[in-house]
Amino acid sequence: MDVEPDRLIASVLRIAPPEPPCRPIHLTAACSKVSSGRYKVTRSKNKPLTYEQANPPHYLFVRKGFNSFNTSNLKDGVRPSESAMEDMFIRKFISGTWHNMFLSEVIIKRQLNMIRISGIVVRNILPRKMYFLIGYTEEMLTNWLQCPVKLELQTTDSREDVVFKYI
Amino acid sequence: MSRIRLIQLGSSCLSKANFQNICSSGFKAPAARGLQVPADPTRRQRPDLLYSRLELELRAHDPAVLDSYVTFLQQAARHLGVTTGKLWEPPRHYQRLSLLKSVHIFAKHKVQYEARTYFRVLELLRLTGSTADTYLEYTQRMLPEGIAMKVSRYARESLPEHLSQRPDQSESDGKS
Repeated sequence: MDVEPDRLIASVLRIAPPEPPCRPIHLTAACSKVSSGRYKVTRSKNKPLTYEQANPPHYLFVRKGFNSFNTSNLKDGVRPSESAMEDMFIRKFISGTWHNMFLSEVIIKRQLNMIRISGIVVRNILPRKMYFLIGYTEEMLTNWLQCPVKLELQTTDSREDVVFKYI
Repeated sequence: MSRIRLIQLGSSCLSKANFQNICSSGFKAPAARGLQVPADPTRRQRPDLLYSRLELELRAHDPAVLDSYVTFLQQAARHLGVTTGKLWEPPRHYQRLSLLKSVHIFAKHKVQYEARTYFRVLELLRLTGSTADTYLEYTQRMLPEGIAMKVSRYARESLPEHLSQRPDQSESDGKS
């Protein structure tokens, strides 16, 4: 009868057999409250911040609102994790599709089974292309998320319009 | 019942002539257009449901939005002639999460996150089924993002027969 070499050595040396190899994963909810949503002051004080960015998270409900509006995280809310993942996916998709065009945060509002996405977009491409992007985004997200998705965008001429202060 | 409800609606937002126009054109339209309406004899005869009380429980993270929506609910009820009962706030619920402030050690320094849920409960009194459906359809379509609504309907039922009548006391054996 074969004995595993590790166990044999362990029994000869009278030590505990080695643990099987493990791949630890990080499960702690590390939200980094100290640094998340806060921006460093630059030495030359020329980093532009929007109003949203200028107010750190403890000003939620005081000076600014949430970026995602849904009922998943209320008490007894259903599918909180799914909503969060979908929101993340929407934000990534938007930032990739509307590359370097969203000046504000992507606001995601869920009402009944409909998702409305809003934000401020800079007008640096032709209107024709912008209409294409709107249709494309709505169509793709509707297909992926299996619910009606609408884009409610506001446009602005220059990037300086949304700047609240420079730090 | 639905007729009565429509008339109440009409008195607030339509003139009587307009309402009759809608009646004459809207209600007879399917037959006039030659569409076949399946005859459903039970549909007209079934009496409308009567609710003694409807409880709307609202939940949200933001109390300001909640208050504004409750105002809207009360206004809609007033315009539709629905009697509102009590409005109260159940105690809010906190979901708290205590974490280390640092990534690894320094256990003395912790940070706490919380998600609050605020509640409001509004009562609507003495409604017919069709009024309740209309009211809920209207208000739920207007439900702002991030507000959840739970509706409990209370109706009175007659006492069931096995409770209202004395059970048969006679011994029933196979012979008699």
